[in-house]
Amino acid sequence: MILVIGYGNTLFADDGFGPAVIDLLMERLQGNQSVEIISCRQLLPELVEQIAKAETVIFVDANVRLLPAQFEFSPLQVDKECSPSQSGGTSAHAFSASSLLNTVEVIYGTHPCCWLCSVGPVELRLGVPMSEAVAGVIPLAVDAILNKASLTELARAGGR
Amino acid sequence: MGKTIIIDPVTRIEGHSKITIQLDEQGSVEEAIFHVTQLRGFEKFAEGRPFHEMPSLMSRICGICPVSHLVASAKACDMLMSVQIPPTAAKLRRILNLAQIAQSHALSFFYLSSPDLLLGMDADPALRNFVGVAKADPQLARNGIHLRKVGQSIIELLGGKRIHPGWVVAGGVNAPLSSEHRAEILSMLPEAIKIAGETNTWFTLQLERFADEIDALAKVDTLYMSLVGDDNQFETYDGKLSLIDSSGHAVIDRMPAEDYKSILGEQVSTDSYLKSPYYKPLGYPAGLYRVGPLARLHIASRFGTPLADEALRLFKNYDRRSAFHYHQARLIEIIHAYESIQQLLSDDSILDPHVRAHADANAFEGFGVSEAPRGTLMHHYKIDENGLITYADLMIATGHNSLAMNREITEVAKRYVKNDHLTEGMLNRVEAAIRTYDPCLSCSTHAFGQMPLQIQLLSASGLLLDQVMR
Repeated sequence: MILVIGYGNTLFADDGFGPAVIDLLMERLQGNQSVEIISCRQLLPELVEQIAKAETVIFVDANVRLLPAQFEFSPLQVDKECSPSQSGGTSAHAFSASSLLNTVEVIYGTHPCCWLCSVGPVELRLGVPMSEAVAGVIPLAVDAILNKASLTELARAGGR
Repeated sequence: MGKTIIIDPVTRIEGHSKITIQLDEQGSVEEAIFHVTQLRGFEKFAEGRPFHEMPSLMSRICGICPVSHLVASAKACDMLMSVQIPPTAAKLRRILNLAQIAQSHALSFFYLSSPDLLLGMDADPALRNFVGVAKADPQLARNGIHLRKVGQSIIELLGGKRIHPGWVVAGGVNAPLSSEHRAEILSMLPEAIKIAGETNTWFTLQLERFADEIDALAKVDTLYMSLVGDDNQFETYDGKLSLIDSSGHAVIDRMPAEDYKSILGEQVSTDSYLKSPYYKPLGYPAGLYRVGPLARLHIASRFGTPLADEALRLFKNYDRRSAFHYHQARLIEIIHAYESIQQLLSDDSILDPHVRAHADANAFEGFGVSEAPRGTLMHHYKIDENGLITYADLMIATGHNSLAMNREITEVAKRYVKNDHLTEGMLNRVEAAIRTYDPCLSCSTHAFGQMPLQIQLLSASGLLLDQVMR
């Protein structure tokens, strides 16, 4: 099973990239059951149960380390040193993708293949609409996710 | 004037706050003060809005316990409409509130406090977090995750989404429960009840290790306040307001909650945005009282569900003054919440499609009360002839506990903090005293960037003598 998790706060302009990608992905999937999708504000520990059951997980997020509107689809590595308090969360129950993956590995002894689908935000102010530049990346992100999903399906079917 | 130690921000709680520890000239702790450093202002900006907007607007106060605000607000609106909501709607609201209590308690116990409880107060703060718990005891971590997820899933199945569901409305709920969703919820409960019961048994066996902390948190004598049912049964949705003293004697026996202003006053402090309610007959600040799971378990005679009642019998033997027992009270309330939801869903009347009463405003004043995870929550509104809010007064659970929390950290700081030998463990014990109350200050849960814990040691003249960051 392929799990796609789009996360971010839609009230903060480009931080809503993840949920916006999920919205378009749902339209494009048209009820296809082979991909499970989750849209949420932040990554919470209770996601680990679903992550542990997935074969492939794609996290979709805005990433301030990228240049504005820069799109990146890259493998996600487990950061074994990364604790919740080091991941940018202040309340110890909001996790980064890498620390969440670390938690999955710690609890279940293994973790699925994970990818990070991210964009550099242009605008992050409260109450401001998503920037045109980042909105323009949403279809690219959906294409990349669907491409990864179909490759995963092919691999599962024996590399046809 | 002595020295001041500042803990800013306090970590592993819901929201932003800091603690100031004031030392006297001899270097001993004189006083500790808990400051809430965030302002929300909901009482003021609700003014002028149509009353029927209140449930969805007020639930935005908090991302952790929105359901509790939703329920209390909707009950206040029911009173403004002068309607009695359909019985099934009341049961569905009750289930939603119980799921909220269970998921919030799981967050508090497993995510926020278990690092202290499992790894120890003096453990390296870099490891003293939920990942550290997962490494030390993967099964405990799995249990915590599962218990919270069940509560969140019930909220999502009933309300349509986990955070800020709009399902509870003035007059009832906006859609009946489907048989499919009932079956799905019922299928989750046996495992959740089993896990909660086993965790409670495990924690009971751990209590011996915390004898010092239990004693340190038993120095403050307070009243307790909560809702109770007619036969003094545990209550979270309806009921009357009761207060007892620390000996267990009744101070107020089941008074109508809407008369709260006759017994509760609110003191505004210059050093915190959190108001400090107090019991009027004892005055300020002597009239301190506690609410939440500890108060509810000390006041109620029984739960009405088998496993929770068994746990309550043991709990009644604990030192009634110790705030440390908040932790176990949360576990027992999780057991009860899932048992009670199971009971409510087992009755076929829960599928009744009649779940909402419709009316315009028929009264100028409305009051709603419920038991939120952290304690008694009151919403009180007044409207004009157009149904627009002219007055909103909210008594929030964490506010009720404000005076008690301040006294608690003063006592803990006196016991553990010495200015000539500051250690991480000492300061964490002060923070942990606050965590026992699980204060919910967040309301807005989305934060950017990292906010480190900063501890400053200042001289009498304000000179920075020492600083610790983490």
